Amino acid sequence: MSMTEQDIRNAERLSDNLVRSAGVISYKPLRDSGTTNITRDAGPAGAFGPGSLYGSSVKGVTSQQFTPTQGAALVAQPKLYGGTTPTGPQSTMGGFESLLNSLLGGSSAGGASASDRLAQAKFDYEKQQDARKASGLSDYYTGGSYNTGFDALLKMIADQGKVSEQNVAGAYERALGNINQGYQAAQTLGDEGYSALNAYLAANQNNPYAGMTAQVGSSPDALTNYLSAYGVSDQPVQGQIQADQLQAQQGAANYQNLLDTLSAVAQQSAGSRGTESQLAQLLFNTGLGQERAGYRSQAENAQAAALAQLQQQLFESRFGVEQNRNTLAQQLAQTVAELTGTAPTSNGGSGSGDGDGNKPTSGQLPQTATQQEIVANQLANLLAPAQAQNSTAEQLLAELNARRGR
Amino acid sequence: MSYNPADYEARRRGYTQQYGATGAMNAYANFLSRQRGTRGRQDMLRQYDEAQPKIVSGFSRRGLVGPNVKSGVFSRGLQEFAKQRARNLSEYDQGQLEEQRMYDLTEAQRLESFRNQLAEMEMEKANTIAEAARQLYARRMGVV
Repeated sequence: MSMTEQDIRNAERLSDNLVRSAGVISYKPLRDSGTTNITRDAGPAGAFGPGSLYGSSVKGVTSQQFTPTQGAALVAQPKLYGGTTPTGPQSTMGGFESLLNSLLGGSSAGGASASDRLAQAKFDYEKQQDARKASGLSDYYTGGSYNTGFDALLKMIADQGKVSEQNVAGAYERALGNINQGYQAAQTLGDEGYSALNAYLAANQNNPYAGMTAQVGSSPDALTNYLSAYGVSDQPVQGQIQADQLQAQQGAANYQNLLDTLSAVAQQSAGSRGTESQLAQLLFNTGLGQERAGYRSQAENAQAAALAQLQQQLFESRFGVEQNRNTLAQQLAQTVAELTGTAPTSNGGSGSGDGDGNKPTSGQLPQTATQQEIVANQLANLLAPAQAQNSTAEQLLAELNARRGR
Repeated sequence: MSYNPADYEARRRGYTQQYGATGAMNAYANFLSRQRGTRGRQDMLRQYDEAQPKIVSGFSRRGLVGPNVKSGVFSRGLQEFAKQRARNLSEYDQGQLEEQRMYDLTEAQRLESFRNQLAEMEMEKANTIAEAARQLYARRMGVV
């Protein structure tokens, strides 16, 4: 069995392991004696795969994996890319070169098998999906798109609050209108009643003694002619009549005094009744005004209570929306941070959190991390040392080709 | 308290009817009184008229009056008769006058009472209307 065939088998097993295992994979170094296994996380699986994986992410393969002799042999090899493709039998390092070529997707006759390419394609797809997911979530978070629904809810709450406030104000205005209309109707009715009373009292002055006068009766005949016929003087008779007349006049004066007294009492009674009517009307209007003030106060209190309740409800609604927004923002930030290893900023640009070009850190995954998240995290952990040394597989290959060209 | 105009109109009719009935009764009584008074005065005048010749004849039988005879007794007797007649007529007329005054005063007081009843009723009606207006207002406000 030649070295190339052995390498191909090893690569096939390695590829199978990569596909089956989402966690840790094992392989044997190509130039090793077979007693040492190199262990890498799932991330490095890509490092040993072909294609674009090497082009961007594989940083776990370093020259330290080869002995100085193997390194020298590699350097002594002809240039793999950019140079002439070897056509003859491979040298001692030809096996590794072929393997490397096959893993890189090269066109050597001994290229990767279909299962390798399938596994690589699947991994690339999943990685791409993770990157898209992280990028999308980051854009969704940093761009503030997730606020749209909440803003719409808040706007709806604010609009509903305005409508409700207008309804409360309208109800208050209607209540005031009803209060004023009822007041006007009651006042008009009461005033009409008292106006009718006053008109009646003015038209019916209750003083029946006003036109009464005490009259004195006529004087009786003194029989003057009869007495004179007998030559008798009527002087004593006239004296008697005058005395009686004087007594009658005194009686009439007393009667007139009585009439005057009764008339005065009647006038006072009428005046008292008129005053009573005015006081009753004043009391009615005052009481009615107080009742209106009380009703207005009740309406104002009801309006204040309704507005307070409305504000409380609006606050609770806004609080609930903001709480949900905050919860979603926290979840988004946490998810983006878990995928990218970097805490996103809500005011930043979009697409900065996809994780491909960032500097991942070896964060710990939550218990609820998905398989893809685990793979992405392990990949990031694997790439971290290589990035720290500023060396990539491409740089390594470039260096190898450069040495071969010399 | 609710306002019902029919109640007040019924009361008004009652007061008026009572006032009219008592007024008619008093007026008739007054008429009868004045009629009696007139008749009594006429009787009194007739009696004095009938008594005058008897008084003169009495003094004549005693020879106190006659042709070329004129005594002081006759003169004083005749003057006393005239004075008594004037006093009785004055007292009678004064009595009639006082009775008429009493009737007039009673009528005035009755009219005053009637008007007071109507005025009180009108005031009660006005207060009832005002109270009804207040209750209607309260009912409109949903308080009652």
